[in-house]
Amino acid sequence: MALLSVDDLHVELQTNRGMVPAVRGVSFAVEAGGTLGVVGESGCGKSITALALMGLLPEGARVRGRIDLGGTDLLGLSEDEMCHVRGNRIAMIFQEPMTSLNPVHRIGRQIAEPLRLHRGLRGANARDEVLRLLDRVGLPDPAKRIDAYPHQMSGGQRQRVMIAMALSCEPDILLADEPTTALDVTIQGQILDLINELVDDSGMGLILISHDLGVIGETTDNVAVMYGGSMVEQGPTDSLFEHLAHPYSQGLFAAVPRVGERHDGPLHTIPGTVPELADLPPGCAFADRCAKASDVCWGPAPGMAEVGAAHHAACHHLGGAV
Amino acid sequence: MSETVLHTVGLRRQFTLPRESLFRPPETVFALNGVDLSIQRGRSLGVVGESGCGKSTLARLCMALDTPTAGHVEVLGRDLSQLSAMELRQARAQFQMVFQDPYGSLDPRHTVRRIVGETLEALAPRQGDGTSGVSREEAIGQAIDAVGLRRNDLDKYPHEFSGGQRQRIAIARALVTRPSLIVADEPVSALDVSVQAQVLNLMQELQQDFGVTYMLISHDLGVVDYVCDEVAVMYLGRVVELAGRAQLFAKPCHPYTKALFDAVPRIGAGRRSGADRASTLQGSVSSQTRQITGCAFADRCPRAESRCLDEAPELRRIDDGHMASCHFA
Amino acid sequence: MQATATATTTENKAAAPGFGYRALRHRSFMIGLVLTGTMIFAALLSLLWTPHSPTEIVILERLRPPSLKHWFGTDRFGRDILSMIMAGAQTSIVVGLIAVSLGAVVGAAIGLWAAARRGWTEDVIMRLSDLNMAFPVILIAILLTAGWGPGITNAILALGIFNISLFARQVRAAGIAMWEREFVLAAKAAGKGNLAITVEHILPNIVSVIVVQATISFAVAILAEAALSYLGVGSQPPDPSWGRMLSESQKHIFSSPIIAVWPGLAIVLSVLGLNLIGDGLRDLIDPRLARQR
Repeated sequence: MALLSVDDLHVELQTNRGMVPAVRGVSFAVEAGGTLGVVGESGCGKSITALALMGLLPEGARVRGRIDLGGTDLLGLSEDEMCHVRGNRIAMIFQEPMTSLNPVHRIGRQIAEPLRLHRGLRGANARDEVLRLLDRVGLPDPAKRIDAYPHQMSGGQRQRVMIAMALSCEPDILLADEPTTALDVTIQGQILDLINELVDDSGMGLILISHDLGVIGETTDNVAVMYGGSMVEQGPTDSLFEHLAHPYSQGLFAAVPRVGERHDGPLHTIPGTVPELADLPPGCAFADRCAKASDVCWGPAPGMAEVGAAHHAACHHLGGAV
Repeated sequence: MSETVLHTVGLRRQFTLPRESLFRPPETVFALNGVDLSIQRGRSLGVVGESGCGKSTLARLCMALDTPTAGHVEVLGRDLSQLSAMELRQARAQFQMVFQDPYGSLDPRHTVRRIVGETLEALAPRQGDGTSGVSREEAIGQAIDAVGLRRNDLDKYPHEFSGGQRQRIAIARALVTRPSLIVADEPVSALDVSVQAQVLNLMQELQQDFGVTYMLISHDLGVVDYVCDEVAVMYLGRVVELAGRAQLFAKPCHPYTKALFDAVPRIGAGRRSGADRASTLQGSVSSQTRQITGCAFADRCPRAESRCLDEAPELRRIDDGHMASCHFA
Repeated sequence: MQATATATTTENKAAAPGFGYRALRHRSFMIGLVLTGTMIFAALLSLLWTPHSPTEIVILERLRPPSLKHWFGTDRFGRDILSMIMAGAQTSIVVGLIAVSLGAVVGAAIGLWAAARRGWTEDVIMRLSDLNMAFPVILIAILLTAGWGPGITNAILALGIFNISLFARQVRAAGIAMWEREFVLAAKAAGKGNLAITVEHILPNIVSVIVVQATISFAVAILAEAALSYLGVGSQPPDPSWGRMLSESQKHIFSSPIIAVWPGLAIVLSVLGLNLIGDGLRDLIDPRLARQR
């Protein structure tokens, strides 16, 4: 039994063009201590999926499906019950630590907040726990930094503070949405190391959302590729990157310029642009950009089919694709 | 015979911060601390580095959007600081810029035609009626063709385009005067991966078709590797290593360059093991408000010795066309 | 965050519902429009026709309660209150329009200049404006009256001077934010000078700020005109004015309180209408600007 399992999740968002499907039937599972990477470009639904897990969807959104965390369906919970799950059992870290931290409060106070709410810690106890957490996330000189304001810290340090806040209640699942996108490469390495280490030590599950295939590759054991609100390919990270089955995954992989691999010709590109959610074609969302597309692709959307050990892809043309 | 398109000589830029206390002197940011670079016609130079390395300041100085504290910038052999305002305006046709943010760099209230034609208009404000107007329209049309957009897009507004298309508009704007030099500051970092590749290919094609010279500023080593002939690695306002692309990526000499390469997450390398983690560069870039006597990288460098703290290493020749500033290179 | 970003781009690309459509669905904006429209209609109508002459004194019919002949009743000189309210709307609109235009044009120019120049130019302008803001409108009006005697021109001038600093501040703040944008840098790289950038890039992008501020200042001007006339330093008899109607009704407040209600209601409703429009415009214009980031 997986720790977290998401089954056929659908999310519709309210826009001024009416309800628009943002997530269209996404299923995945994360074991305790397991790591899942979610890759995709903007508008593929990866962040909406994360917000659905947190119960933080924007006003007017409609959700269907099942999000099962240790036997409870999160979608059936009231807002009050969800508040207890949020931060306590599932914690989230965001891309931009500066906007996620309140600029007018000292960081010590911000980390102590969830400790007070969920663990009932107060005063000196809370402060000791904050110091322990700051030390745990590798913030240099925690005793001094605990009284700093967010603007007095660097981007990497702020992200460490965010991680400390996320860890404060020892969550079962850590959701990281582009946690290193705003950081410099060398700092990104440090933060990824920290996340890897915490997952190994604490046994919590990790869902890492990123557009960067390298970040996913170095941090996760399993990976899911999303496009147009659906999951197009899913499998163990190593074997998936070795045998990309879906034309979109192949295209995405080939489009990244990589250090030390000189391409003689132009970079591989995927024609067209990332589609608007409201304009998604009815069948396979990738059909209009896909080189392999044929008539069948405009019909019903393809289902997930096995292409290797625990490796699935959703494409009508898998035969010739591998 | 190659011709030097851009040449910077001992470029320095310091900013004074607003005074924080009545009793302390205002702090100074040392953004650039002596940068000498040059680019030959038709070549492209990549400038890599992390935030605070001064790469964007360098771009602005090269575009004469800012004035250096010391040193000067030469474009096609002309010292920009010696030009009058009028001469500078005319000279701008020779060097153009592409910005990072395709949303912020286009005025939302202007049509594409007006955005692309802005430089032409600034060059000759009165042109635009009579016969000469036709040629301006044609120049705009050609630029829009060159970046792969349609001419009937010219009357649209920026918000009608996607991020990648907007960046094409920005490139068309830079291209319309047929400049010798285009300075591109993180031109693809705001774009999705699949679209990023389209824009990078376009930049390559334009270089072949129009013979433009690029200065490409990026934090992404992959992008620089793909587009550039030469690469300059910057750290805290200094060039720490400068070499041909192949040389640099095959044999990085400066410890910072090595750390930068190692830090790039690689696909298919598997999850980072304990050993990988041990090699991660620790610490963060030290404050730009301090004047550093020794090597700027010494406080994070795994090889640093006492000499590195006292004595600043010169940028010196390591190999043919390969320079680095490290005592141990 | 991603979620909102996705949603916004979707909206953005959508053949966005036009301004008119969204305005029609904005309830308080429409209420404001109806109220303000009524006021403007009354003022325009009074130029051509009023039920009675607003200045005609009929002593026999003084202090009449509302009737079929005099819908709103008559005042202590037997003048028809409805006609006076209609004609008074003219005064309010003229004062508001001139005072706000003066403030908007001069103030915006100063604000744009300050934003473009920064440095000491800006400091001097802003300190002057601080000084100006330290004097309430009423005080400025009384000072002007002391110099040139009471009159509507002085009221307009006093309001205009006050509005100049108000607009200068708002426009400067919005302008500075605009100068930080990358497209301004791009215009500099194209060789555009400060004046050209201000006219072509800064002004069009902050015009919404000016429009919203103008609507709200209009309301403030109507209120201030009423206050000044009430104090006797605004419009002079026999020009009809809501503020003076209020002040004249004071003597009969116990015998015929209804006389005070009409001008009071006119002031409240027109100010409310303009404020609703201002708020509505802010909603209708600003989110779209934010989305076009």
